[in-house]
Amino acid sequence: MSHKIINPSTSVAQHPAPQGYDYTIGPQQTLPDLPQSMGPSSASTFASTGISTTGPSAASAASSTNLASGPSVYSSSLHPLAHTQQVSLAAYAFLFQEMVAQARNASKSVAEIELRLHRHGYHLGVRLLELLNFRSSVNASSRSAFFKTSTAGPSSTSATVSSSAPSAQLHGYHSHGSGDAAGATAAAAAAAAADDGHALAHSISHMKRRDLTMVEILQFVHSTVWTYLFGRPSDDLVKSSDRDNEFMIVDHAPLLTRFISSTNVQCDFFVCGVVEGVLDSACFPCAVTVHSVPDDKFPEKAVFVVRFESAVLEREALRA
Amino acid sequence: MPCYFAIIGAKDNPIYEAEFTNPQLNQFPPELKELNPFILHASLDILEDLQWQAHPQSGASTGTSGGFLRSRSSANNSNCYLGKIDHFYGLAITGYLSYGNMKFVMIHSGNTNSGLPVTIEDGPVKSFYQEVHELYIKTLMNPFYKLNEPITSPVFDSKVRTLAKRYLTK
Repeated sequence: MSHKIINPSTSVAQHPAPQGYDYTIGPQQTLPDLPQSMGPSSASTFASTGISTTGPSAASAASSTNLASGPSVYSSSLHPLAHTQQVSLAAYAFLFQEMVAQARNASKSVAEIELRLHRHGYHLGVRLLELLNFRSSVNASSRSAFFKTSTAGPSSTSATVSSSAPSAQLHGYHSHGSGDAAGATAAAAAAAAADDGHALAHSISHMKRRDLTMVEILQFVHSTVWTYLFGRPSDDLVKSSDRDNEFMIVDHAPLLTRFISSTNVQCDFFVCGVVEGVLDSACFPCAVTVHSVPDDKFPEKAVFVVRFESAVLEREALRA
Repeated sequence: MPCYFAIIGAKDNPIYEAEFTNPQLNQFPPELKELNPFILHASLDILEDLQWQAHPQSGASTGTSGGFLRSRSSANNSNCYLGKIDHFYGLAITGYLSYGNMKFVMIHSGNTNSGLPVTIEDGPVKSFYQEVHELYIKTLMNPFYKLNEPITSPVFDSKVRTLAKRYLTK
């Protein structure tokens, strides 16, 4: 990016196909359905030929409709109930096993394996922060259904997990205990929203608040993110008594590593990456590590330790 | 009314920019047009101040610099849409923050002839920002898109322009 020089926006477009935003050219000016040849950039390229001003605009209109009609990330809905497919635990375990194996083959040390898993999770966390917050602010009618299913979720899904059924919910909002009527109306709303991609944001009157304090954002991780990934909130969220910047998220039976017997590699570093991705992109720079703390009741108990950087503490002291 | 819109990333790097102008009627005057990115980036300090305030829209009561500049018509609990955050010789600048702290900023210009300050209608502007936010999240859902990279998708571009036409031009 740095090797290209940003031209002033009035200069002649040198690229043959100025489709979309090109940061080497600068912003384009026109709005849709306006003759593009009136803009200074295209005027200077096409006016010299002195003929048909309708040509380029018609061509670009045709190409833009082509682009819009094809399947893309922009044509699918973000509604929480638009994607209710759930991943079976078996398929997921297979994928995760491959991921660990790939990291293991490519690494020379245990720390490197963990770093690779951590990196995979980070990209997930960055996306989950935006997506889950946005979904929480989807309008009131579907939100009530959304919260009902998510609060009904933990008991039923944890039952599924403990009975080791093959179809444990990895992505379960809309899992077992939801009322059929509420589910049906919400699904209809989701279908309507899927028809018009813009309907979703349009129906939001108040966006969910951004989380501004360490406790708020950790509660988001503890409840919303954990519920989305594992079908239940995490078991505990504890503040360290020794250090101000240290918090602990406790999971009694981590779903990701339940088929991985204890080794010297901590595969839960993937989840550390997710948590760190969420916190980092929300401007709470931190380091997350995982420690397994087996006790009598929960032999697989894992504790995720979040250590915020001192800048976060300073900021919070200033704003308090 | 002509607008200049930009998405600024977490490292203050440009992600996307666009001008919404009607070539026949209203455009930024040429001497001002080149200044737009500078004006917009100058308001980022105020935006970053508001970013960590509990009630960024509560108006003058916060007692910080820039508090008197903001419009007070929409005082609610949400802190994504920040309203009018700055002004520059009759241009108004509004801001919006996504959950990942992407900064959505826009310069609104009034009639180029009259030097009157621009009035911002919070409703449509807020709707515009929210829908662009949704488009941004959809972009982010693309596994090939990395955080803080420029968005070059022509579909994104055309959708943003359609939104601008619906909400911002009168």
